[in-house]
Amino acid sequence: MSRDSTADDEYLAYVNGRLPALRRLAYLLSGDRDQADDLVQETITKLYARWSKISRADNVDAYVHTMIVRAFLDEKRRGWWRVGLFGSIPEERAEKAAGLEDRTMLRAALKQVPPKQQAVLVLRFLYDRPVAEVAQILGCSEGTVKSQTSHGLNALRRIIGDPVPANPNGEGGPR
Amino acid sequence: MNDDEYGTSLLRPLDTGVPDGPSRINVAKAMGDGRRARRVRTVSTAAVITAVVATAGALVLRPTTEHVLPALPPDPVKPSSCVAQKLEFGKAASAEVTGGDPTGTYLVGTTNSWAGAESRTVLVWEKGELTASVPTPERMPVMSDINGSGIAVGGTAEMPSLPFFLRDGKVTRLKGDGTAIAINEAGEIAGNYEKRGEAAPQRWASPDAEPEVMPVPAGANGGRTVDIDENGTVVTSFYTTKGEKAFLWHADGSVEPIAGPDRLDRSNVQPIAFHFGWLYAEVRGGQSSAAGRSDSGIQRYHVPTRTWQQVSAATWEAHVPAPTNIGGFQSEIPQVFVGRQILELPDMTETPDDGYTVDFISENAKVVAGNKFSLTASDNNPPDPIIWSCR
Repeated sequence: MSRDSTADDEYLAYVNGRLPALRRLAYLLSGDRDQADDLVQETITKLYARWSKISRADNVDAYVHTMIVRAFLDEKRRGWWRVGLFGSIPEERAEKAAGLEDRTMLRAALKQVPPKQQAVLVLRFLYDRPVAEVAQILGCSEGTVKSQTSHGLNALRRIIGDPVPANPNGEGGPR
Repeated sequence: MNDDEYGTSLLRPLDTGVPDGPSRINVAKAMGDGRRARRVRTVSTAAVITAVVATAGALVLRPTTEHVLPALPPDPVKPSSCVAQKLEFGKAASAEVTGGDPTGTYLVGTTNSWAGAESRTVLVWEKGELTASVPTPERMPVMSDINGSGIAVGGTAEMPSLPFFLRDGKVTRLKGDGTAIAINEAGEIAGNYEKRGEAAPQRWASPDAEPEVMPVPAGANGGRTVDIDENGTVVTSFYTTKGEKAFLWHADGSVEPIAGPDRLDRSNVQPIAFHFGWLYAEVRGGQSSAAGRSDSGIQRYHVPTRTWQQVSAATWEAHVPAPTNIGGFQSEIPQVFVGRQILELPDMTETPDDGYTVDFISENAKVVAGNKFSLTASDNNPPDPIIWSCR
């Protein structure tokens, strides 16, 4: 909790400044606008509850990214997207409205990848986080991030029909 | 093409930036839910309440004349040792203890305290043992206080707020809207009127009574209840043109402003809770001319004598348990004020992510209760209710 109104002001300044970035990360993870808003709503609720502690952290953004990814993984595990805070509307309406079939297909493929691998792929290739930071966010080793990257990409290759490399554990260079 | 190049080229088309369309994220709701669900400080009313309640009734300010002063109450003896024990809560995923009666015989809490939970149960512990697990109605209220008769009061964790009480094993609506916060041994209940963005303290003479809304002091807008003492005096906090100010709403209906330690109205006084015959408060700003030092920190106020005493210059040194979320915070080690001293409690830390709230202390300081939380709000580290038995 904040000890004075200044803390509330700081929280509001932080959240208002970060909302676009948080929505983007949540949207990249979930692929659905309503689900993304659910994720952000849950995260900033917890953030307010912990603001007294988290605001003193060296890297508040890292904390918040961790919270939003954990919220994503937990909700995938619980599977209550369908009864989210805002009452979801059917998915992919924006995608189809835009006529972007490839993107829709790719998003659908990504959703078939196990949630933790989804998170690794999104954080590394869409949110441009280095391996070390992804490991910190997911609470695992850098080696696990690399192996989850490889497994996730191979899963994507199989789903969309791209050939899987001969060395299924092949890893890219460090980012 | 290595994995990095493949992943980047494959997934990059999905990066369409921020989703289009209006956001339905509600920051004010997040602050309100965070405050209620995690027992953190009440959100700044000025930030979230857009309308001001207009209440009927005359505001009667009690004269602040000095008279024969009663003696200051003695503090309980600071315990020499305490034993920590997790409170049982059945098969729920998590639970929190939220309050207790003045003797520490009864503790009350809830399962699944987080905002958006799909079910909640009111938990009552007697002498540290789980004795009641009462399913809640559809709106799943959370009890915040309990008295020595085993009557607990609280409100819904999610908006809009509705007040409830637990009596004889049944959770029932209190009359009116808003939320109930604290109950004394006489069964008098204090809470807040909250409806359509309006907020003001209110009280019930008993669980069956109609609520009475407090008249708003001149120059004040949104206000809230903090606690009720055994005399039926409700301590409240209002946002005024001069900052955050505390007011006593006496049982006879009169309203008395609490002057800060400097008596010059330069400081902001945020009351936290009654303990040991004192009102504990956080004071910000101001400087007592006699002492020549800042008044900021945790201070306590003796209502009958209007005496202020400094407890701690630091606001985060130890916990001041409160039936509201005011004054609550998470610390890496559990510590609580006993009188003006700090009682260090044994921790139950299992991971570096563990933190603590201290949510209750009995008037003899022999029973303390609180919760172990994830400092990073991780759902993988759910809250655990703890009782500390001291001697």
